[in-house]
Amino acid sequence: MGSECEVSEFLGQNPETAAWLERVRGECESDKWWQHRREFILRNLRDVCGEGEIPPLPETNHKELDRLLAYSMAWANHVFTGCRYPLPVMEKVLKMAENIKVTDAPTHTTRDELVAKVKKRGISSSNEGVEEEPCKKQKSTEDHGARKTSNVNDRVENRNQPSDTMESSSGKICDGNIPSTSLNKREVHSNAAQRTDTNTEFYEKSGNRRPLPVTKAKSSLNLPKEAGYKHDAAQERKSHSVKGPSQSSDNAFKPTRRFTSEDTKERQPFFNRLYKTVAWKLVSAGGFNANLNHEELLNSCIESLKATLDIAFVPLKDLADLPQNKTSQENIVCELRCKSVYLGMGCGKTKETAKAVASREAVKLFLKKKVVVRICRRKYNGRDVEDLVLYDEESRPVNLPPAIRNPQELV
Amino acid sequence: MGVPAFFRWLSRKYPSIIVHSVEEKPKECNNIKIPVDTTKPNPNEVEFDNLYLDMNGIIHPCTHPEDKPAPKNEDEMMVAIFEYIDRLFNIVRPRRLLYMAIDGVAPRAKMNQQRSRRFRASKEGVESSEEKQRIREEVLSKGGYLPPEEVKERFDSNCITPGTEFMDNLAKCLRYYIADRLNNDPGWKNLTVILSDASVPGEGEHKIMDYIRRQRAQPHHDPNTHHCLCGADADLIMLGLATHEPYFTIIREEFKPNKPKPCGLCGQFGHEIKECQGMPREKKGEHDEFADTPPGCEQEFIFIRLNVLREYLEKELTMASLPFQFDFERSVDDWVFMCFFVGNDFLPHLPSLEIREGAIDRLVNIYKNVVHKTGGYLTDSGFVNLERVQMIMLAVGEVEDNIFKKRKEDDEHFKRRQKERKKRMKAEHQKPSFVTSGQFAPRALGQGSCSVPEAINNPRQEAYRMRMQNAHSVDNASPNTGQKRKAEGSDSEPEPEDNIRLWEEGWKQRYYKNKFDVDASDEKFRRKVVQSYVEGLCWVLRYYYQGCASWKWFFPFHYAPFASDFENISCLFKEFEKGTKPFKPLEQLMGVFPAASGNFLPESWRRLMNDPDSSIIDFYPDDFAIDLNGKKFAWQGVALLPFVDERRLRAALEEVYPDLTPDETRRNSLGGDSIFVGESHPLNDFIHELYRANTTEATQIPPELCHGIQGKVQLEEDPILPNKIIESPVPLLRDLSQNFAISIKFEDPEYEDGYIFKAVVLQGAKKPAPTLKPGDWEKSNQDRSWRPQLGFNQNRKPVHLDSSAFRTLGHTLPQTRGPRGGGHYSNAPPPGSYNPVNTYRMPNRSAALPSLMQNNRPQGSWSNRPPLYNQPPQRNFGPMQNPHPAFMNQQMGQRGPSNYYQRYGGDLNRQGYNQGRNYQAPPPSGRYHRN
Repeated sequence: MGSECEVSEFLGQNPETAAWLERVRGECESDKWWQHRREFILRNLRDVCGEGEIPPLPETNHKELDRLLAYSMAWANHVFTGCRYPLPVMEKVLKMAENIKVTDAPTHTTRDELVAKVKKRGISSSNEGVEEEPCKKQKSTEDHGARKTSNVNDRVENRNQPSDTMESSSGKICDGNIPSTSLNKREVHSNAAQRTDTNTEFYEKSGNRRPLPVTKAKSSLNLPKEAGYKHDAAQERKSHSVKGPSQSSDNAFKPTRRFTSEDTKERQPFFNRLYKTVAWKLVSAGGFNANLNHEELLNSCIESLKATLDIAFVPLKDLADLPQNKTSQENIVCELRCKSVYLGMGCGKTKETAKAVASREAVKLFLKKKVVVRICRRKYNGRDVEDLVLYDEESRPVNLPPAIRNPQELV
Repeated sequence: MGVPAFFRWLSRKYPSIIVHSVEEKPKECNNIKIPVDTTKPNPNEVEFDNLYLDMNGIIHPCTHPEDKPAPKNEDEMMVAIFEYIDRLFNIVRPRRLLYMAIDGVAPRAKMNQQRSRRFRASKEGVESSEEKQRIREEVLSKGGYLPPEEVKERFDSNCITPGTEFMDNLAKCLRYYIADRLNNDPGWKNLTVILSDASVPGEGEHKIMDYIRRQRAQPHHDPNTHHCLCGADADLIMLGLATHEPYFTIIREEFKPNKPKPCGLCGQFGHEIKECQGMPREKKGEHDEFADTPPGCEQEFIFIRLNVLREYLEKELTMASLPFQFDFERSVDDWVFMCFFVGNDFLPHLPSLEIREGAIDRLVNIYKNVVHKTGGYLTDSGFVNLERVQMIMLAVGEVEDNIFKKRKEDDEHFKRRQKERKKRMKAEHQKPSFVTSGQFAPRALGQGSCSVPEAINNPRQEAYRMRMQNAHSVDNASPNTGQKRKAEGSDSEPEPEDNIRLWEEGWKQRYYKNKFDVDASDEKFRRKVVQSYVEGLCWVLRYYYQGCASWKWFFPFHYAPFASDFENISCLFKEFEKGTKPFKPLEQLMGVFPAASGNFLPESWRRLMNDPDSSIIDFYPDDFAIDLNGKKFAWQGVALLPFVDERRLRAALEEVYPDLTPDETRRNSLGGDSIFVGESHPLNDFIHELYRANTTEATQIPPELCHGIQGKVQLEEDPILPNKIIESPVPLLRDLSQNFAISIKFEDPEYEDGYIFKAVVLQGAKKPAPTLKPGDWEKSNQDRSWRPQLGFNQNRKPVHLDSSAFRTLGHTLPQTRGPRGGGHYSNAPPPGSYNPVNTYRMPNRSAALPSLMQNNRPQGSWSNRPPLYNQPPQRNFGPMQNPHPAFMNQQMGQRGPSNYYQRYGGDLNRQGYNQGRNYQAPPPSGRYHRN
């Protein structure tokens, strides 16, 4: 929010610029969108005119100004309405939008994703299992292209947001780095996660606690089949078109840490044990009920397994895009994690109540037959990030509330 | 109008407005086609004066048809268009005027819709050709056979937009076509033809309306002209009503759902591209006589009689004891206006008004309740009284909450039913579909005392019991499959999450937050949306009644506000900006095309669409979000495309204007209408004289020469002149060496600024004879029963079959018409259902008698048809009680309004699907969005 203050302060000092700005505002732009686009324009105004000068009026059809307006619109369309532009344009506008913080951009499903979803359904039903061979082959080439693309993603994002890492696409799916979530992607992730789980389970049974290289190979062979289907033509196109620029500057920026099936696999055994511990504890406490001290229960179980329960608090107002059913009087949010895996979240008037709610939510996870670590997409600071989340086996991926801390930094 | 459901709703509520066309087919003798003599009286028993063609409704199905293989090249497309017009001409046989209007540059308000269609079409085109390629390779690799790929470019339907070379070419071809017919077809001899090509700004149907409006406002217009307008859009009905002409008929293709489509790869019917296996073609019919088209699949035409619709509306809208004088014409205008709330091309429809939920009926009811308070009509000649509209809107707003709740309930109900039905179908497939029981129960031969079959007591009752039992056992069977339910539920696709939840408290806040990304507290923004919507309503109504009020105005949001937001709207609209100009054709192309269709534009213009340094790059996203907005398919959703900033577009184009070639400059200019007449038309000499005298200024047409048509004519640069050879633009067709037709530029009569076209019935107009049954028929005609009128002619003689015909029918259709079984009105189960002979014969019958069945369908549906499970057998006989129109159509060849129901057609598996909400198979005509 700091940048906004900056903007309004600047405008307070430069009333002419403020008046000028109102003339380039779209007639039907909402305050929120305009506020961000205004910042975009101001930050890049020096492309149009010198410092301190009054920029040319829009009626003069000033070429540079029109270009800036076009970029600002492209950026706003991308962030707020889910449009996607050709890669050079995307790179350019995201670079120009450096340091602009958008906390609560809406999410959208683009047309290509929607169509891909339908197609995927159609194909997988008709010839699943028949064509494993070609799929595997296909995968190896795709993976190649995909990795490159995601590097570009990273590069763009790194420039965009040097402080925090974001948008680590799973490595299989790549798209022109939209900050908005797509249902499609989320589905892919959960699928991938599920597959991994079955693998881990298998190896656990056979006495292998630690994931072995064999497991890795196995899972990466298994995954592509899934991923191959997801890869619709559009995405393929994308990955091809992307190759060019990515080669030139592959090493310019360090790639972001990205969660993989390894991360979930690594943690799954721990949570299997935690599951047992909690279950026994619950049995001895006479079953789950609202009067238990869930926090204590959870904490003691985790400590008995030589791990710690990470508790984080944040005032509610800092999480702008929380679901609306939270009332305003509950003003502290508590997030519980263990081994950087998200367990639950709670809201309350005080830290204590928030913590109690959060732990109750977390304990509820252990009431089903099994718990599973999955990679999930969620919001952090208005952008999409990946996070490790603990699920009970039956629940489907739901819309998670935004994370309090950057999951990437916790690992 | 973007409401395909509107026509369905209308034709179901007011069935008598539909009349099937009677078409005389050209005969063939020794391989020579004998054209139909269109000078003969119209076989539809009505004579039309003017035929107006909304050409885009013709161009789309002719260039990329969905029910037959696509034409190979542009020439074939042109010929297809000519043939289509010939066919229409043959049905309608206009005697005075043929008006052809191709869509020109549309008002800005339409641009958003055009953009979204073109952006989608471009993507769909690429996807489908990729898919085709993929499956093609797959089929070939599996050893299937596919006809070799023709060398043809993928036809990008986006080229059907004013300003492209294709449209330019089309205009040339149509000029040739008109000249040819004027010279060679006797039916065209005295006809005046007006062609308004794509260079004339305005949508086709609105150019037609403008013409009618301007003609009927001049004194020479014949108030009893019988107009016939061709086009499939539902808004033509509104436009026709808006003219207040007493004789107005619309002709359109009959919409048949589930029409078989040929496979895009091998061209055969019966499967989709996805299932293509490259199998050799099967012989169709005994001598392969149905090779090209499955029988009965030719598209037929229907008439929509607006004067009958007016009769219906008069019955419905007439209100007694009004505080002011009731004027039917004004209430029709109000009805038209209210239909706009439900959907039109220029505004998104209000979230609470869904045509499938009877929104128009609801509006009419509210209207009737409120009109007592409003003290007058909502509209006057296309001008809206906002205070009164506000009362209607707020009345809708009061029930909005309930509508959403009801919608949710219905939706859940529907889903439940669907699920149960699925389950039932499954259960039925697992066991014999029908086992007789009781006295009819099957018994093993030679067992017990039953070696001699007993006589059956009281067969009718026994059959009844059996039937009831059968229905019962189905219900019982369903819980048994309950175990499976879980698996079924999980493999059905997950519904997209609805986070608006209009049925729950706080829906308004959520709607604004989700759709507009603003807080509900942002009163200013909400007000802005409402204001734009109000402006939109005014603009649309004006557009229908007076012509385009502002070329610049558009609705700048993707969603509509709620009806309950229309508070204090009377101050929200004053007047539109005057003197706005339409875009030039190429400018509009820049506004509606995605970058992928840039090939229709000059090189330097195209660069503006994909150069990262372009100052309008934000108009051309690669991919865009689609909000399904409660719908199921991507093409039904709302495309969240950015709006075009007109100033920046014009500024960017300024720089590339010098790059246009002379030909492109010509294509980019706005043109005018042309009028064409043949040799014997009285106007021919007049025009010829103008050319001879080389008159430069515009000249008034003497109205008496041309059935009262008025307007000015001006010499054309490259006219069609008598004795001038007209070169054929299509290599398939010959040049016209002997031409006597003539063409000249035509301008509609001008009216001074601010002239208001009155929405009234003209003086001298005769009221058409009533078609509907009068409300007091029983009172005044106690002895006679009412005979509904089926065609145009009131005194049509019903056709009777003589006794020999009955004998023939009885011979070929034994079980329905035969002498056995005690007549077909008998209530007892007919013997046919027990008689194995008949069961075996059924499939044969359909093959042997194709000519007896008017609505023949591919035989597949017959042979696939499972035995009559679950349906009490006798219900399939005896047409009096038959609830199954599809079956009836086949057996009886019956034609009538029932053809409109979606129930028609489809095999039994789909037959029951609800024609209501949610389950919407893409209508076959869905692609033909005009403009």
